[in-house]
Amino acid sequence: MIVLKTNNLTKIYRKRHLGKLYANLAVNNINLEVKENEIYGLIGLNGSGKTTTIKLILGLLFPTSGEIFVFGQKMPNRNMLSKIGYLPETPYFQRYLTGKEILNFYCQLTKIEFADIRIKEVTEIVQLGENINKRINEYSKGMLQRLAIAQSLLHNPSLLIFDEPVSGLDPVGIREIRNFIKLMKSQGKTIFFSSHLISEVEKICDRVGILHKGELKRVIDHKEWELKSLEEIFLETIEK
Amino acid sequence: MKEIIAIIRYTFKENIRNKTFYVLLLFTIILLFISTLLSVLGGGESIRILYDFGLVIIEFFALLIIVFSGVNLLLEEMDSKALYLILTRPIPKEYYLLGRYFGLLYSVILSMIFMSIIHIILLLYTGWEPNFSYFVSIFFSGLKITIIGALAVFFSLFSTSRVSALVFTLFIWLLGHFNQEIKFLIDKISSTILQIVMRLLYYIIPNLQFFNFRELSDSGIVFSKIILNVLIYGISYSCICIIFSILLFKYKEF
Amino acid sequence: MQNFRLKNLDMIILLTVSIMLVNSLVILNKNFNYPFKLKKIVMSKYAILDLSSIIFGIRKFGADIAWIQLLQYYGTEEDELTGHSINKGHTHHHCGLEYGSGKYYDFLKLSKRIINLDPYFYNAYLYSSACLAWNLNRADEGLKILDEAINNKPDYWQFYLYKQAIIYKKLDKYREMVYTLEKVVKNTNCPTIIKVILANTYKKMGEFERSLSLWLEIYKSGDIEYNEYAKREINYLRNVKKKL
Repeated sequence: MIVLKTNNLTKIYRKRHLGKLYANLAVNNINLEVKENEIYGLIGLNGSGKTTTIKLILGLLFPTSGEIFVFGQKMPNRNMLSKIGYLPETPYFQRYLTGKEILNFYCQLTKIEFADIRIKEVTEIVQLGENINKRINEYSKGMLQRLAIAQSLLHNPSLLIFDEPVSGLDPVGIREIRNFIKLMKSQGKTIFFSSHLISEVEKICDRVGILHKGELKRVIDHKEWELKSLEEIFLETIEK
Repeated sequence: MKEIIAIIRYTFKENIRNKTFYVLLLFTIILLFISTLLSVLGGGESIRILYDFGLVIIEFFALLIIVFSGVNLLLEEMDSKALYLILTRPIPKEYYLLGRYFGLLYSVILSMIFMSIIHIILLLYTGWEPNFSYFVSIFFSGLKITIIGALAVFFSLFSTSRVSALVFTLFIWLLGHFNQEIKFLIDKISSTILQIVMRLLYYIIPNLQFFNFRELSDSGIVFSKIILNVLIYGISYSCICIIFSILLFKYKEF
Repeated sequence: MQNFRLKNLDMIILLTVSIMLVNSLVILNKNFNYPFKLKKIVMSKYAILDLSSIIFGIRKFGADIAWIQLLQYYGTEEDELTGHSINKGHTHHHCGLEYGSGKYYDFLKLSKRIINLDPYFYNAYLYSSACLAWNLNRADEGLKILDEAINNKPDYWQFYLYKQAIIYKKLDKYREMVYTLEKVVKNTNCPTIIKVILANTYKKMGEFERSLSLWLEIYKSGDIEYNEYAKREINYLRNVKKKL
């Protein structure tokens, strides 16, 4: 089953400044498909359009042209958002609230019953422990990332979309994220994430899409980089 | 509906734990106490001075909070991207905006009530005889704040920067109190084009004098005749600002 | 289709609210009589302050500040204000009238400031007119203040009473003036200054008992401004009473 699909997805940023119109082609005719229960990595250089693609899927941006389908439903579809768990690149939470209050708030937004139980469950998964009762301004980068993952899991989504999940983490943190993603896959979830750390992507993905200058240049199956390193394939693709 | 209430609670907690909010609240309470010293200078009118000064301080505090917080309400979350985690949930965008607006309003109105209680205690201590006018004045100040809050949110989405949104909102506050004088001046202007522009301004800018019960209570205006229309005017003006804000917000990209 | 229906709903809500707004505005424009008029700035020194009070919608508070400034002015020694001794016998022209004393030249202007900002500050009219008429011996200016008061609030009966008292004073009809002031002091909101004026008038007329009774009332009222003055007068009148 195809969980996520885009048809000729294009996004042009238009800006008017002093009467002049500036256009920037961020994403151009992207056709990607993410299958159920697979880990799909979207890799590319900085500014290649990874975050734009993710924002288009989630409805934070409106496509200039093209279509997006999630679980067969055309987006934007608010009901489909309840099946998606999102982790932004730099998660931000209100500094004066505690982790528990934040998670409770998100439970209320997604109408989760027995919120306390669910918060306890996700807190155990991300191993936040007692830190959940601390205020956000006392959290380290790693703790923030854990909390961000926790909020993405609250409503038990089938599709997880992560934007640069290992950005800014130490090697221990990176390993934990890697193990977590594998755990989610084992629970039947589909994971779609963007990264520019090819070494990490190589270790866990089933398929990888290479994004360069807004275009999806190539989609590679994990069998291909068992023969030749993903880094070589990536560099070859972008240099063409 | 439950989502709006959740966002209201979230916004309220955010405000009451914000140090800036507390500092301003504390500062205003100190000013209220200082006003008792000022009232001593008023001779036989000490109660009147304490009464007037207190009401003005309470309204100005509420104005400061609502303007600065109202302008930053959405912009801060947009800049920090905290908004992403809310908008990627299955709630309508307008629920978020309504929740944030009402949450802010709730924080400010509650603070106004708290300060009014302190003010009333000070007044009673000086021998003031409680009257209904006081509560009506506070109520209409609250309604004024509601309108200005809605305008602050609208300008924050409409204009390109925080500073311009702040300036526009404060400017409207001033013009709103000067509206009646503008009406008076319209007839004195000879230029037809200028007259049309001024008349347009007069109708578009909210007439905050309608809500200035604090100033008008002694003037002999029979408020019971117009109170319903003042309420409708205040609520509908705020609603229109919020509706336009929702429309702007719905089509905004993040 | 669902989105289209929702957009229709948005338009309906917007239209309904707009109609309510316009309707209420039309009704308010007809029925709301703004009670304040734009008047000339009386003292350029305080122009910015007064204008700010109007623009910020805090006229009453502006009037309160102006009131404090008037009391501060009136409570300051003339020497400090003018920089020269009052004993030199200056003659000054104010509004075409000539005064021998030349005291507190700006009293009328400062009073006008208050009533321009808040035309419903009744006690300001009463206090200013009383001070001008009795203390500063400028009955015409006092009457000017009261005429403006009556123009702004024609149904406030006390203004007529005060006016009557000042006219009697001007015509040296002290008995009639006392009779009028006695009516005024019966009112619970009567400013203390009126009681002081009446008490002093009783003293002048030799009615020490009545004067003493009024001074005791002033002292009991606890008005800080007249406390010391009341104490002195009570002691003096009691001594006079003993001697008699």
